[in-house]
Amino acid sequence: MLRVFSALREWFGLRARMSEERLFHLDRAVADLRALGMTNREAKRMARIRFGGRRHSHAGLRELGGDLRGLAHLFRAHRVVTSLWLQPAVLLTAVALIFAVSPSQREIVEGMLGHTLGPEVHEAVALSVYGAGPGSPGITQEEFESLQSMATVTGAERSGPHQVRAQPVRGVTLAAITSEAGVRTGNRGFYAAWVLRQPKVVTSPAKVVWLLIVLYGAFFLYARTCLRVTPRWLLYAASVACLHSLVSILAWALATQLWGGTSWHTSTTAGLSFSLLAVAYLLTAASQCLYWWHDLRHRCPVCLDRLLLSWTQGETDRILLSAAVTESVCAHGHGVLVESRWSRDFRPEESPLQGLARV
Amino acid sequence: MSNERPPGAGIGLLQGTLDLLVLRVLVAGALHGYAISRRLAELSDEWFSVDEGSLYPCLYRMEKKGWIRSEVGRSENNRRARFYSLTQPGTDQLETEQEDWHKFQLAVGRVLRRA
Repeated sequence: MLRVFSALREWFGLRARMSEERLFHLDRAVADLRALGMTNREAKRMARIRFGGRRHSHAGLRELGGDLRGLAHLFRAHRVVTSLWLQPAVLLTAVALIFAVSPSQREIVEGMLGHTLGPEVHEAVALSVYGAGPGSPGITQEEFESLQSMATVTGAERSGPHQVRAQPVRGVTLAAITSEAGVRTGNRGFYAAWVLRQPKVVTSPAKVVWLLIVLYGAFFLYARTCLRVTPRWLLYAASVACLHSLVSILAWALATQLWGGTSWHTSTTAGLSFSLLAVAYLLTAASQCLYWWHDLRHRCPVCLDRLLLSWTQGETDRILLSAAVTESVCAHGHGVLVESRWSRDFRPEESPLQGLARV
Repeated sequence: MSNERPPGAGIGLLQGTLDLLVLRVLVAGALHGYAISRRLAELSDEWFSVDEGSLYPCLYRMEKKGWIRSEVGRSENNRRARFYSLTQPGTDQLETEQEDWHKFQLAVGRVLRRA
């Protein structure tokens, strides 16, 4: 984190330098122009015209390294990209951003947990007939009109052929509603049941995707990794993977929340946009996994620092004979990672920097 | 004060000429950005229509190349300002650019006379 702060401090310093010089220049120009008899307003306007447009400020920032490319360069110079804490910091920032952007944080949390927060809330009451099934005629129009005129419930609406949903009047009991429904319709088979409020955001698909990824990842690590892994390496890998999945599921929750809040003109548009959302989600989850693994495989299993001085022997387009073998060294002398298309092996005993090894 | 534009208005500086002019101006000693722009305007009798803001990217570029260096100091009215001064590589560069400029001038002159 210190590396990030120091890179950011340097970057903001460069931007401040540009801004400070511009202000000094404009102040001096205004003072000179006022000395020539201009009003303060005229002098400021003329000074700005003489200084020129924003493109000069942008060009200046580019030369100074105060633009986004400069920030990327500073991150590289401060070795932020290789920092152990980069991924956790970025992922935690993403979590904070998702909560900041979400129109209802409570919905996101409820979606993640899979149930509503706080005590159970009776959202509505469902009125059905005993024994109603696919073969039965369902609630008739006369019965529905009678249910609409009930005093114990309001806003009765059909919810399928065999059910009517309505809002209960405050303080009324299920027995009272059932009794009135029977009296109004003349059908004693009517009964009422509470409809509990459900989480509005559904995160199950995202959870399933990540469950599959975790299962595959565990199998992949077990089958392919011949690294002499340490508990520290495993802990780091698991923590970052958990953070990735958390961010991914939260992002899905936010996306579906925003999707649900949008008024789509047609159901086709809604379906198409949801399909695109699902595809984008899968691609993003896959990218996250690849990045996670790419970062992890280039870290020393002992100290977790990035392996350096990669050196490749052989032909990269060969598969069997003279296939490419890449060696990377831990800068702290913990060992050498030897990896080919078929195998990966971390060899502590072969490090050329063994003398530099530190605990 | 007249709002008429100077005779050179509309004629941009030739590409790379600003570097030469700034280096030449800095031979006299360390100056801040505003002073450099005023000095350039004075010496050219306000001929050059340079956006003053374009001076700063040029200064930063030359600083990056090591031709000039900057230090924070106090201006005439005791304000914090950044002063630019010439370095040895900058002096060498000035000599090279001056030579190139004279050659360019002679070549253009020859074309104009003979055409």
